[in-house]
Amino acid sequence: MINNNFIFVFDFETSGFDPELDEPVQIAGLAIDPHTLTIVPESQFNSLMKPVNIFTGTKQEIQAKWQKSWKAWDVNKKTMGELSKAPLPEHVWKAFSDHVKKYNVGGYAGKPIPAGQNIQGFDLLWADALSRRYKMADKSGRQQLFNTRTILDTLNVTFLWFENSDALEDYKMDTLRKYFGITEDGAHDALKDCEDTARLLIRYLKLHRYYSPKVKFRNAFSNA
Amino acid sequence: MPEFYKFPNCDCKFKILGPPPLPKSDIPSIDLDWDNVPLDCPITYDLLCTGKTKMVFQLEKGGGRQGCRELKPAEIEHMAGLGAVLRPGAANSYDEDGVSTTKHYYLRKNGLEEIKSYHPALDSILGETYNCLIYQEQAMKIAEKIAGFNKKEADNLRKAIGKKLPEEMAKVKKWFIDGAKKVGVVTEAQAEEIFGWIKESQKYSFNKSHALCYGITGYQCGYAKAHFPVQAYTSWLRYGQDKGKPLEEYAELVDDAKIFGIEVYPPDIRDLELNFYTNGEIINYGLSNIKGVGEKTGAKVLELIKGVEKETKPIKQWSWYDFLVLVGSDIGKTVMERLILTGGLRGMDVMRVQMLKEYEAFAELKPGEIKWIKQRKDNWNNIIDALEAVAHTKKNGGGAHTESRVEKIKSRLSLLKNPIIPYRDNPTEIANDEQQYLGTSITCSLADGKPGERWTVYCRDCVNETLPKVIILKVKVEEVRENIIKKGKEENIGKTMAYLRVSDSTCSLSDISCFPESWDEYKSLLTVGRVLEIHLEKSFKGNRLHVKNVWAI
Repeated sequence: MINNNFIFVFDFETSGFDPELDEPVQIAGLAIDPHTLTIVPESQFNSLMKPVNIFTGTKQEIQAKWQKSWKAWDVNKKTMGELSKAPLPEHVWKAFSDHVKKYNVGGYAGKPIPAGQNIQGFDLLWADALSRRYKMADKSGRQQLFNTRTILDTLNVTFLWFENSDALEDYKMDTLRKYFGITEDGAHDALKDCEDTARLLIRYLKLHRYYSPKVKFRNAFSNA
Repeated sequence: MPEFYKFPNCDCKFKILGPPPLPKSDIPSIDLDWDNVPLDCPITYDLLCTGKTKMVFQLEKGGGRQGCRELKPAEIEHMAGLGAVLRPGAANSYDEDGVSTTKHYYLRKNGLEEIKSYHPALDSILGETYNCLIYQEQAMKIAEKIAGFNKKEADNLRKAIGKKLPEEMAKVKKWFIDGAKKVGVVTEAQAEEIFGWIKESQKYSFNKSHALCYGITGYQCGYAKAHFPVQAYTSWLRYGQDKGKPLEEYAELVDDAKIFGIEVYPPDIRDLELNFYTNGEIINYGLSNIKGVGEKTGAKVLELIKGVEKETKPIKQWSWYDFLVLVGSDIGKTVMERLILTGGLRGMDVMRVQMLKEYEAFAELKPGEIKWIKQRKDNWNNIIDALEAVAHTKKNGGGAHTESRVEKIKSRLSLLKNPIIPYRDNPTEIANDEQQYLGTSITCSLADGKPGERWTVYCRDCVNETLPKVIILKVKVEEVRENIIKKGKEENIGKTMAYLRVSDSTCSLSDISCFPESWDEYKSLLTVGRVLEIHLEKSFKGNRLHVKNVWAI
């Protein structure tokens, strides 16, 4: 069965790790054409989001809440100035949802395949949380934008290629950038992370397509 | 003005009614008296012979189209015969040479098969159908002539044939043979053989009175299509909403209209009606023909717009800002969004994407905020300026009650001023939206959204008798039907081939063959919804096309 579903790489930057307690501050995404394995032109989506809870209260309260998430700002380099003027997450999430829906090739099974670095452990959980928060979730409280049958987490794909090698000390994106020779300039900006992840995924998929016809899968376990 | 209008190519004549000809149309209002429509119009038969018989009663589908092309009807008796032999019974009734009754009828009518006379007594009865026994009435007449049946007895024979009752047939057979001996026109052996034909015909023969009615109705449909195509398409489109799948019906009709050079346009708010309408030259969708709108809602919306027009100015003078502020909050989300997505507001010169985003922002306002904008509407000429003004609390001169409302409106404003995705109407999205809500893409096709390097012609270039030399199309695959080959070349029996329907912005092409070798090679590409470049070649038989090469785009 040839895959016709688009692959949609996306990434959140947030004020912390907990989707219920912390807040998203940026979302970015782009689509990969499943037939040509290229990034679809003009498919890039990138927007900051205002962390509403942080910016509620007196000046001192806001400052204190901002400081609490210092680790996040240290990584994603977002500033108070730019986030205070950013659009509200409910509007950005709606715009993101509308954008992703354009890459549905038909019906429930046609939803784009979600992809990204550690999306199973992080970004999809944020997608679920925002869908619940803005009343766009299904009955079980999960997002309805992406394919649920197939998820391409580059963390898992990297593991499959390198699990028996000490070439990589870990599977973090920064480590993979160093190893694969991708520049680290702009890292931990959501769009840059998406683009790097997309390039990595495309490289992996092309590798699979090259080797797959050479492997004898059929009747591999039969006794004949 | 002359009392009668005469068509130049066939001399068919019609009485003209009072109103003058419609603008840009040379066909005046014509009173069509169906009882007196001539049944020998050559233009009508020419059309039927092409097989382009969408809208022709009983002949719309593949079998009917193919039947018209093969039979080439030239008189009303042929139309009746076609209706009878198209039935599965006739098509699947084979003689010892493996030729079906249907095929015999086509071949004999066109002089491609000898018409052998079995007995002069039968010639006058079967002669009208080229010695093919296709009507129940023919069996009755044979029984009268050969076996001396009276009309009641002949009718019993017809009933027995029609109901396919074996016991009745056995009884009637005995009477038939005994009667034939008495009448003496044929020998007993011949009578046995003739009764055998009658019995065999019970599987497929049709009632001639029915066949003739169907034939005349089909002819009249073809007549309307040939002489008043725009009006005929408009009429069929209007009644498409009574079909089980209206959008599919609209898609087929719009596609067929394209082949005949008739344009069908999406709804247009500047000239909107409830149902499909025409000015005599082009056809427009009506508001209720958009999926999910319906007649009741559509009528309310039209009434609302007309009311506001009276209070303000004609809708043809409205800008997008006028439309949004004057009626945007009263029309309803579904209608509004679908009007935008189907191009209904295209005359306002704003991109569909932009309209959707601005409508979204406007629809999110509270009723008090909308009222505040409406009361000051003429202070601005675009929604962004209006939102800027309302995005202050009342004590600060705006229309919002609270700071949190101000923040929400400003958030929307920032996205309108700096859209995350630049506003650009994408052909792929337009085609998909129109397909979803109108049944078919009209403004552009899915194929238009893809580059392609090899394509040479459009689908429309391939619908006529003379085909282009090189046929490479850039098309969307609309339908794929697999078929296991059961007859023909022995090496192909049991193999799988496929028939395709593909489309681009000009029209669609059906019944494109993909023979087993090509199907094996390209079936992974030839999936519904995919846009591809396909190289077609003409088959050695007739004007059919088959797949030679396929390329992904």
